[in-house]
Amino acid sequence: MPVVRLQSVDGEVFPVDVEIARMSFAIRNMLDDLGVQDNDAEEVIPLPNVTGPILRKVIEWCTHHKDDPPPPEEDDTREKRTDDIPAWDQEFLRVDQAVLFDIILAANYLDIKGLLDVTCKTVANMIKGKTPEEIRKLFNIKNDFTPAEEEQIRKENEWCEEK
Amino acid sequence: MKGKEYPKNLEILFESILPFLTLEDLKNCRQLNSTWKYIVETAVRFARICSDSTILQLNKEFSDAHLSIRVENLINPITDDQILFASKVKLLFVEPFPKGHNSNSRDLCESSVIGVNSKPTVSFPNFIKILWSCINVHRLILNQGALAHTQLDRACFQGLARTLIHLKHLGVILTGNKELQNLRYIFGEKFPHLEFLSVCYHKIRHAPTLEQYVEILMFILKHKETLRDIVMSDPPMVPNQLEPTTGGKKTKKRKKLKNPQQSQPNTFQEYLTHFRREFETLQLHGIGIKFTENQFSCWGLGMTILENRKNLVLIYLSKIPAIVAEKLAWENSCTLQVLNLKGIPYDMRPELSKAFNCTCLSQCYNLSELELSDFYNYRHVERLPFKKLKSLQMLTYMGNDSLYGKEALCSCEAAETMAEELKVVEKIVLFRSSMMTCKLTNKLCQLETLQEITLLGFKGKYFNNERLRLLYENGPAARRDFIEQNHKPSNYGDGNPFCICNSRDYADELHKICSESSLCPSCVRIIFPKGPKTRWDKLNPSIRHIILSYLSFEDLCSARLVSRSWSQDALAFLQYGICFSDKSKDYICKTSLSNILYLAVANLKSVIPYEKFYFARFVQTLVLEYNEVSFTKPNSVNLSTVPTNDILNSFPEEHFTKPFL
Repeated sequence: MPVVRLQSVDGEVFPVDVEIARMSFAIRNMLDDLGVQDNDAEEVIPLPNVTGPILRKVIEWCTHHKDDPPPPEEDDTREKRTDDIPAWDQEFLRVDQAVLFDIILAANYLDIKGLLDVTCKTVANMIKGKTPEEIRKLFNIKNDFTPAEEEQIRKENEWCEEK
Repeated sequence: MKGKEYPKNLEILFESILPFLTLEDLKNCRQLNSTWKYIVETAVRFARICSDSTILQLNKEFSDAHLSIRVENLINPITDDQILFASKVKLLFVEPFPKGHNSNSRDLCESSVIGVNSKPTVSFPNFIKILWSCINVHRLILNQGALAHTQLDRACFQGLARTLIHLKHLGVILTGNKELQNLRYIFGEKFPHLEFLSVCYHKIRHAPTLEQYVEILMFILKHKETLRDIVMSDPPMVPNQLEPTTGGKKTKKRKKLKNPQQSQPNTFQEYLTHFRREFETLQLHGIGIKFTENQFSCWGLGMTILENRKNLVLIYLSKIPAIVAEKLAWENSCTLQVLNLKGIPYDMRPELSKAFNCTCLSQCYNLSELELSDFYNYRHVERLPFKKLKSLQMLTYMGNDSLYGKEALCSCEAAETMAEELKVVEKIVLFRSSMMTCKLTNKLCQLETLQEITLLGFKGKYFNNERLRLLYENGPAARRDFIEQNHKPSNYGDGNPFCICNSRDYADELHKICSESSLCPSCVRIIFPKGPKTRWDKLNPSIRHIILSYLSFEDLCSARLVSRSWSQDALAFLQYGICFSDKSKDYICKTSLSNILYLAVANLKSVIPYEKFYFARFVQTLVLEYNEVSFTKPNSVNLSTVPTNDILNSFPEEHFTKPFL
């Protein structure tokens, strides 16, 4: 199997099967733009926005999902679900919040739609069902509303909820 | 930096370095400049020395920053003018003179002095004069033995009680009946601002009499309008006396206290019954009670006060039998925020030391701090109603497995439940988690909001050290010392058994630390790095929108309230449905809401013409902006009373993608 070498921002180099690396549209474009052939095993692709530990996680995810069918096209009418995260992915993403957010950024940068979707769903699940105060605590967010602004939003929410 | 901010910030720093400075250092700091003078005086509450040589300056220099004074070498007669400063004293800390001083006035001033006393060379008239001039004292602490002596105390406190009209905080540590008798002069008065009362006993030699307990009751009731917090303890058993001259050899044991309840079994209960109705009107904020083997006064009094108590915010109960703890009126505890229960009284009768049933705490749904320790059975944690304790931010559990076998603190399932249910917990302290496994700890570490977990007495896979084993074997006293020694913030990070991890991967991190350092790892504090403030913000808007797109309408409403940036993100995604009703119509008609995609009409019983006009304009705006308005009608609308047709008739039908009805 042809291999491509991915280099993280901290200098770590990961040899990866080309097919797996091409799951990232960013890498796929780089390979295509550089004209790298499948047998150019020595070619190193620098990834300046991804650290070694995060890149390792990304490669692990891609390796596991290499045989998955391509994700469906965007469809606004399709129901947005978060309860369909595969068990393996759930376990894979049971990581520190900082790591999770770094994986999201890496997935976005590398343009790996499946990974981006599943990580975003995971964060959405963290938010779901929580009160504003719980969400603030979860993400260490400062409440910067004035009391009047907060009251205004509460009113709007209240009217919306009225039955 | 400007003005007042400067000293305020430094004051916080100064409190940290304060313990390391000598009095000389403080004096030097105080002389640096006016700012430092201010800092030292406010942070240290600099105790001014009142002596023959300084008394003339005190009136000029004594400021509000000086909360106490130390009196020494004050022999010459003083006049009223010389002690005007005394009216500024806020804290009065009274303790006995050390024995054996060689002043000529020994008989007159053997008892008490204001502030911290080291060289008691004060004439009695001077002392009394100063004491009685402290008319603005907010806080009075009578340390052990302060009232224990002679006629002087009576004379002092008889007058003193009448001067303390601004007293807010009264703390008394008693060692004997003489003190109680002297205390009568204070307990006989009414302090119109008294908020806090603490009555504790230290190595008391004689049990209080029934009359003295009643005096305390009367004193509490006398202040029921203002009293907010009470701390009380039963007199402890007199310890075996060690005789210093015999090299610590034990002398004959003193008799165990005979409590008044035993001698007069019904009288005290009668008093309590008599006072019960009065207690119901006490507006307490917090209560702390320490039970002992004596099982009398505070037990009865405490239970009486706790009965039907609906507004308590803080409860601290020590040495309380589980069977008693369960019977407290927990169903009235929705206001409770801090609960500290320490179980297992010295009296280990089986019926008293059964497992505390934590499920009775299910009504405490506003609890933010919970500490359980020394209960009989390790399964408390498993039984805690975590689903109900949604506000719990700090959980401290100190087990007792050294006495009752090598049980695990709790099962993995229980830890998993905790990890799932404790939505906002920030700190967890676990003690005696002897069989705590790394796997279990890792479960707890997954708590999303957890900032700190401390494991004391951890004997897990990697760690099993000699020191802790000895502490186990040396019993409760050693354990207590161990906790006290290691629980102080000042001990952190100075080579003691605490280590700091910056990862939730607990096992790996500790393994790494242990292999790299000589830290004793049996007690571990893991501090998780606080999420960077920008963690959410560093996601670019398109990612944030992907995440928000998975949220329900209700979740988006919550998200709007998190912060401004969240509000913008959520609002951009929010497709508001508006309910047009009697309650909301005025708001809707006069507000420009730009995200309305559908309109529900419900509970609309009255529409007057001008409202029709506004409503029409409102919907027209929507139509112009979105060209798509859906009208839905909840089933609750009573068509016969809703003039919706009138409203709808105001608009051309083609404006609606879905016709009403």
